[in-house]
Amino acid sequence: MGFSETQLISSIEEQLRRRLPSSWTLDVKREPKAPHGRADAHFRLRSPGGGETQLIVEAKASVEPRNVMTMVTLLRRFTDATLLVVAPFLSARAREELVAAGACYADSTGNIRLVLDDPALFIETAGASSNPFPAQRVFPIRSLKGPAAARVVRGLCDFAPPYGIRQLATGVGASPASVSRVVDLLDREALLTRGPRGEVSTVDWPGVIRRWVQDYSFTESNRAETFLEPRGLGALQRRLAKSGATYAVTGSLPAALVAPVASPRLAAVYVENTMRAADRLGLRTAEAGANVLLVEPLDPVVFDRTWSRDGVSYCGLSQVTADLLSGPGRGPAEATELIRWMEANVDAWRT
Amino acid sequence: MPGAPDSAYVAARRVLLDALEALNAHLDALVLVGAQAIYLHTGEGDLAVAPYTTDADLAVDPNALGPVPALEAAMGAAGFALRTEPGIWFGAGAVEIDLLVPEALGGGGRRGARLGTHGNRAARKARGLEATLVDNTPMAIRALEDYDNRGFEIAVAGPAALLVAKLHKLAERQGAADRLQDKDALDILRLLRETETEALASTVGGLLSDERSTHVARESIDQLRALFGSEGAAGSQMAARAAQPLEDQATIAASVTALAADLLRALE
Repeated sequence: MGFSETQLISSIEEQLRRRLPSSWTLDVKREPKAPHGRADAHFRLRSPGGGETQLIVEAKASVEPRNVMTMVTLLRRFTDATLLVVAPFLSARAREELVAAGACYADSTGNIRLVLDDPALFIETAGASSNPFPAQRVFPIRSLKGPAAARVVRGLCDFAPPYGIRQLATGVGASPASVSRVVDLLDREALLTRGPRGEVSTVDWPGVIRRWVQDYSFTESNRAETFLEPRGLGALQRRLAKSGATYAVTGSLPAALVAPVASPRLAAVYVENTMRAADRLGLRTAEAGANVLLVEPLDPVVFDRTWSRDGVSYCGLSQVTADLLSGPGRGPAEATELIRWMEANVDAWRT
Repeated sequence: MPGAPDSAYVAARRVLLDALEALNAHLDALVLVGAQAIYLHTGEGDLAVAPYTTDADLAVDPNALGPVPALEAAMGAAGFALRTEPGIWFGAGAVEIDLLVPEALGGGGRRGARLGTHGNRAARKARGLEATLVDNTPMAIRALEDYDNRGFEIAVAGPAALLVAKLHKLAERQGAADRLQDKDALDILRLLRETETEALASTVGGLLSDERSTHVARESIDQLRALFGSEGAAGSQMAARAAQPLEDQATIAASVTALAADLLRALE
């Protein structure tokens, strides 16, 4: 049985309604807007005395016990409200970890633990003790928007198949579930093929990059700010070569080294912190005439599999291509030239 | 563009060497100025626009100039010809060599410098070049062609003196806006980009305190402020025009303005 996120949340809502005292009410709001990111749902509980509280619902396809602490810590950065982690099934170990992390939980088999102080409420029920759902139990995804998709897409482009889901997951530092979802999506869109055991056997990498940039945008998915290096892009590159900090240059500069179209006018540099990097590189904030973009990336994968020339570190070409395709100005034209070069020289960049 | 120098530059160097050969007895009185000198300091730099180096400018210090051979005779014997204007010589392939005397040392008269036994037509007067007699360094100038083994050591004006001279040229001819003037403004950016601000400020400080160049150096600071004080100022816009379409105009205007402001601040 496969669960969509909507089905899962409905199922949990149903489980809770059955176990709540009849005098309590439950309102469900799906994908509510929030200041930081988006919760999967909000559950609002109201007691007969008029007290009410809101639960932030985090829906997961599956919960690995070892990931619980990190997951809860990350969620806590955005909210002080009670967290309710929901999944089709939660193992005993996962439930222990969730209790230890201070989160409430509910799965669709009836494993529920809900502890509220104000208004006071305590529900704890036991459901299935082993996972009743067959092996493939991931939500199908329809978008390649997020950081996990970025890691998987980059890996599919940069590593020559064949490889299994787990092997790729280890290679790119993503969960097997994330890899599986991205691979499923690309499989459905016929951008890769799979072998008898589900392993990835061929990847249409230019197609994968083009599909990625339908959801990923260099200027919108990342956080970019504009600066001026009045001494020009060569001076910037010389400073970068001496910089000990983490960075990787993307866009026109690396493209021009590989497949020149025209002299680059705009440098685009991924950094960990824009303001600190601007300071270190002696850049000035610029309104008109900026020639440098400093960019805090969606995901640190931009710093993986870089290459260097004259001491300057450049992004992997799959990243450069996606950034140019979804970037400003003549980026798309430069990307087309770059893809042409990459097709003719696959061994030079794909391992 | 990086790589081999273009043929016009190679030809210009050849004719410059012809002139230095002709004026060998006067080398100590000569300073290489203008675009060729700028290019020696800045190289190609980062600009996609090639420097304009098809002619050569030599500053002449009348106080260091010996009586023989006469400039006109020496240049004429080497195949150079004056057309109409004093000091503007044409060598092989119509490559132009300008002999220029700093205005303060050029005597009376309108254009031609009064050079005693050398006459009034061999060199022309130019304002702002005074600084090049103060700020210069000897450099070896060699041919760019394999078969030509000529080479001369000659004083080359330093970046600060070149900046002062270019600013005077721009200020003098402001209004007569044309593409060549625009290139002079872009040369200002080349000098500001390739020289560290502190070093440039320190040399300009030296020019301000040397009586031979005090006046023109002081004027050049006002010219820098007037021409490059903002992105919309005349000089900034000229540089931006000269850089198009290979460079972004707004970037060039912002860059030259930012570096001019740095220098002005360092001079305060």
